[in-house]
Amino acid sequence: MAYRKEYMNTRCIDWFAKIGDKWIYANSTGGFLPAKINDDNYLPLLQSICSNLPDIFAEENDEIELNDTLITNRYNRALDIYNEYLTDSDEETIDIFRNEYTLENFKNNYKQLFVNMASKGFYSFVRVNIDDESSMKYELVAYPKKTEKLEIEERIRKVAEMSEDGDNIMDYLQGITFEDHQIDFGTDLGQIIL
Amino acid sequence: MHFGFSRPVKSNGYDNVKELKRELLKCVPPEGKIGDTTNIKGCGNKVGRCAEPHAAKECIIKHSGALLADIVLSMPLCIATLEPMEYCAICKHIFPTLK
Repeated sequence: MAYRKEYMNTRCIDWFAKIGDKWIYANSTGGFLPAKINDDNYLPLLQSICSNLPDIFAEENDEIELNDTLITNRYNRALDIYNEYLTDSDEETIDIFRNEYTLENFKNNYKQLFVNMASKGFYSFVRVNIDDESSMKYELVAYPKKTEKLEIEERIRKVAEMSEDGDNIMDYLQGITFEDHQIDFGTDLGQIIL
Repeated sequence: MHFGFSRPVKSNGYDNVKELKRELLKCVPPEGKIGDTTNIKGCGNKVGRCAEPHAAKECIIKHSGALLADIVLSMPLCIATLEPMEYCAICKHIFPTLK
């Protein structure tokens, strides 16, 4: 069955898909899931399999590329919102906020989830228009620099085949291939991944 | 300081916080109840489900006598990225400090 609208709009749902031969991880941040993905039987299984995949890249080894432009843009957006929120606050409160809410601190929070999935080999996306549930615009946050160690599909299939419902999961996996970008990935995937 | 998360709510979930319940009920469709999808245009959220009323309920119970007008809310955050988000139309309607 498909997830209900209210369920999707009040959750940040991890979903996965294949574009060409690349696996992507995406976080819905309260938006609608693409129809191909939206299945409350098989998406949780895929989430479980993918979140338990081993880390094959490490940020500290400089093996993960971050989209710093996106993160800086999101930081500037957040600053604008907080500045408006703090309009009536006293100077001391505003100074404390400015000293603590740095780009570096913001980036450390923002990137965490996406670096975690990129370290497993996924090209990791976020839905960016978080205040508009109908927007399907996604942007790349983090991705592995190398591709030679990627065996994601093989690893997923190995676990899926062992499951009681293996055949159905395999059918689900076949269906989540995006050959014709049906959602707006915001980035020219061809340039980045190929 | 009180924290809240968006989570399911029962129709009697706000029975012991009368002012909050009264304001929430103004956001449900006619004959509706807490937990129903709001009839406020442009907002598809369920009434009482947001993090804000959950945190407000806790606050009012703990500080008996607290009024909705006394409650100052921090920015709602996206749990995936911890970015600030907009308050929903129900929350803007309920909390005087957001008006």
